[in-house]
Amino acid sequence: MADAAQLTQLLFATAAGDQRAFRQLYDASSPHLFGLLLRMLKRRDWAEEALQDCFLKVWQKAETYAPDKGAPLTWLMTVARYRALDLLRVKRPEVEMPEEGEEQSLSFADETQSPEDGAIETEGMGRLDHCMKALQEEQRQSVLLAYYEGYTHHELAERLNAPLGTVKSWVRRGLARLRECLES
Amino acid sequence: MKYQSPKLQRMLSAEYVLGTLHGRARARFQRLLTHDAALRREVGYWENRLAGLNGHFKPETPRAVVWASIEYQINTSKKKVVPLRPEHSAPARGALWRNWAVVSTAACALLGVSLFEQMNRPPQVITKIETVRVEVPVTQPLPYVAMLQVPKSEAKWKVSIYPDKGVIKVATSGRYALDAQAKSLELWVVSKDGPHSLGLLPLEGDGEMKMPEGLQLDAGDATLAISLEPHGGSPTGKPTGPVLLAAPAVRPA
Repeated sequence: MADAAQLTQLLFATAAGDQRAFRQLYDASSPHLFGLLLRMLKRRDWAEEALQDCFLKVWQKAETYAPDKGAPLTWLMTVARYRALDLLRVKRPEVEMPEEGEEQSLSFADETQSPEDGAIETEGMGRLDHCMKALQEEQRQSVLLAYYEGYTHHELAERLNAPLGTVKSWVRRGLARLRECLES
Repeated sequence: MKYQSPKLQRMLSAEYVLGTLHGRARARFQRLLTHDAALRREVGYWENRLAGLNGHFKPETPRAVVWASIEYQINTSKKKVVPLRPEHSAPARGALWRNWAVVSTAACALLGVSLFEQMNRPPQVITKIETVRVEVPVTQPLPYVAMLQVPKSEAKWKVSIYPDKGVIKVATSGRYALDAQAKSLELWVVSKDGPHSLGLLPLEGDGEMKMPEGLQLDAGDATLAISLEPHGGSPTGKPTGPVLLAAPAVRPA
């Protein structure tokens, strides 16, 4: 796995139109982006389509990456996550929402995994993990489901079997408390 | 409209990054984001903080055909416009300057750049191939035509697809070095829903194959790809080996 400095160099070279650097950037980072897209989109064909969109965007917009604003892989993953969210909003109607009681199959079992297990960027992760655990159960579940599954408020309400307004406030309070904790 | 309250700004930024800000509210927020630096900072804060959750995504290597398609697209329609000066400050060392030199050369001679790239590529990297347009009497349905040449090999295939007749004609020149007892070359057409096998490529001479039944080519140009497969072709119906090249097939207008 290329480190952050290498990825940054590759992004700079890509911004200058270097196709070989772009290929190296793809080789080093695409498995991470693809993992995110598979998890969020659930369907391999959509994930492949989205991955293609992401790298075409990276090819066009690599010069907008600024190292002082975050790690290069974070930037790439953010591109992928926004793409996944856009696609879900368009395509989700085709996907069955899980029935109540099926939570087990879709539950974020990974959540109990220690952050080190699959960590690609451990920076700041311990703190985030600590603050996530400090949230109330419903708040934490809402935030994680929205992050990993890309659920809307409506989908969260359906999934968590709670009124829309309640779910909205779980998300909002969860985020507000998360921020307080992260900054304390 | 501006979101004046810092508290509201914070919350909208957080929900934007999380994805729970949707629909028109999301679109409006995105518009504000383009000219509001404070909002962008807020968004950046959450992007970086929540990225801590990314460690739980399990990396998985995508199939080679995804890269083939990306490379095909950046070599055709999505020609990169290189800014005169990058927005960020240039990295200190010389690497970028060398790249800039390459780019200037490329700007002078477009043909030169593809040659340059071909020479500098590792062997199995996919290369965009010249396409040929053929003159055919207008009364006949026009075929899709592609010239396929694997880098660092003498072998070339001219592939003509006649969707109306349901026939694919292949003319080979040169010979592709391959242990034909162990491996086969498989020809694919890559459409929006993924690659579809067209059959095995002859290693020499000419051949004709039937188009698979029910195969619809996308309107306009199609993309062809060749992958290296076990003898007899892919056992799964999708490419399993390395994609040797992807190239457009052009249907003359």
